[in-house]
Amino acid sequence: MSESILTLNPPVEARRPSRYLHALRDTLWFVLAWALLIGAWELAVQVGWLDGRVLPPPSVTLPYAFSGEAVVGFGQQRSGLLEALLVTLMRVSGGLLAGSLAALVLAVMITEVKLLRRLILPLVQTLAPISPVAWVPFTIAVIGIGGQAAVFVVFLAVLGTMTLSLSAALDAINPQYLNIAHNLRCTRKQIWLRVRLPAIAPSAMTSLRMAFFGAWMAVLAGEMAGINSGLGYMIIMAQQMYNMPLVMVGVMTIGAVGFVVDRLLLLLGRRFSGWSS
Amino acid sequence: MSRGATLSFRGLSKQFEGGTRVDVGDLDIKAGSFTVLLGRSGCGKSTLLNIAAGLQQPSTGHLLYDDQALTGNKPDSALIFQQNNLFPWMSAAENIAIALLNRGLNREDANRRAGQLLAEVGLAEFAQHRPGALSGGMCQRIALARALALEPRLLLLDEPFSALDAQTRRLMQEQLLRAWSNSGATVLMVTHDLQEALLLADRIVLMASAPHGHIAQILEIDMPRPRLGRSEALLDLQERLDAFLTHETRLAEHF
Repeated sequence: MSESILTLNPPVEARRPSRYLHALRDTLWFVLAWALLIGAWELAVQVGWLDGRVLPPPSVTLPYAFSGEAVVGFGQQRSGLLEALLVTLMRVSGGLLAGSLAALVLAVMITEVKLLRRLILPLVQTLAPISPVAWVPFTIAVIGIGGQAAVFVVFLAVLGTMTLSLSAALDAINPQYLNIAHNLRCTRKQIWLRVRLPAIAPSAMTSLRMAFFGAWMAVLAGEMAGINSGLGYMIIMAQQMYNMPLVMVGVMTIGAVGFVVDRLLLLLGRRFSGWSS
Repeated sequence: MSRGATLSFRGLSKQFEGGTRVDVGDLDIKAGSFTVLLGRSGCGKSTLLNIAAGLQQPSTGHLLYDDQALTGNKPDSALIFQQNNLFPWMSAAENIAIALLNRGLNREDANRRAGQLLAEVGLAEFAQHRPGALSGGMCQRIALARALALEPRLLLLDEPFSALDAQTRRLMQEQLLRAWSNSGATVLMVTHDLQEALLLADRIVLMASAPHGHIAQILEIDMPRPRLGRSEALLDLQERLDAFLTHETRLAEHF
């Protein structure tokens, strides 16, 4: 009897579509969605439903973007698309990095010291919902006009929300891991470096992606206020000169680069938090 | 002095904020014994274990560890929970090595010893796997290996096998008994599984939950191991305990 139970049928190999095929399929859908929108736009302008001078069609915008003519200003103030993009990226990464690090320090303090939790948390909770745009006049008054102002606006946009989400993630760590860490005689430093920080890594990386969206919006708001470089400045100048293709190119660049950076952060996050999936 | 630690609860009780209370009173746990805390959820058996682990403080009374007052986490007690014993962001080997590093081994020795311990529980080939890629039973074996690596004098187990399937549970129980008799440590284990208690314990501390958590009875089980659950005396005991737990369940669930 037992022999018949132990006699097993060999497994049948099922055919599965590979991971690459899935990725390829997603990419094709992505391209198709954009091709449809661009095609519809072009058609609408050709047929006359849209005014091509206000909403320049892709046949005008795309060649223009890569022609090297997508510039604003003259002489020393002259600024090309790529240059504007790099300046803006520098500002956003500076503000995002500084804001996130400051938020991490605050979150650690909030977690470690009860008095600081009681003092800092109410302030952060009140300041976090303030739109970065609202900080622009304040920033100009305190820091003045210039590149640092845009970085500072990004810093403020990131600091509040990041502090809240990091300290919430630290509070949400399963207390059993901390009990185990104590039982294994971990020091306070070890508990931070080997337990708490790895435990919050997945949610911290998600928060960073969300913060990047906020920062990417904030930096443009910062650049539209009296700074003469960067993408935000380029769009405002293009609007004032009624260069609608350039406005369009600026907007599309913001979207495309934002998308790429978000994907990069997603990949970076997977490296840090492979264990949670 | 024997390998195992002694524990003495003296007039001990724990009052929680919500109004629930656990009265332990006096309870002595002998060195090297295997004591099982048996009861329904809510009777305070985990509270008792957490106090023994130094994770919770009693409201009144005190706990003596080798006749000394227990202050916080005792260096030679090891703890295993039902799940989440291993840090999911570390590999199996790292999970063991971190405990060894904290006992003063250097990095190289800790890694080598971790490898040995994994081999002893038959999981050498999974050293670099993270817990998420391992089964619940494998994780509990690694947790047990790690606990034993600490050479504990007191082993505290909070429903360690409750989340496992019946076959894995039985194999784990055998492994635990072997580890216990080899190490000579005192074992204090929480379970709500009657069979498990009868199979393992020298002594069953039966806990009840009404009107508040307390020790209902202490049963000495003086029977040779391995116990196959067939003996007349064991079946009789099983029936009595089952009747008690059923009564408890009726009360708690308003049947």
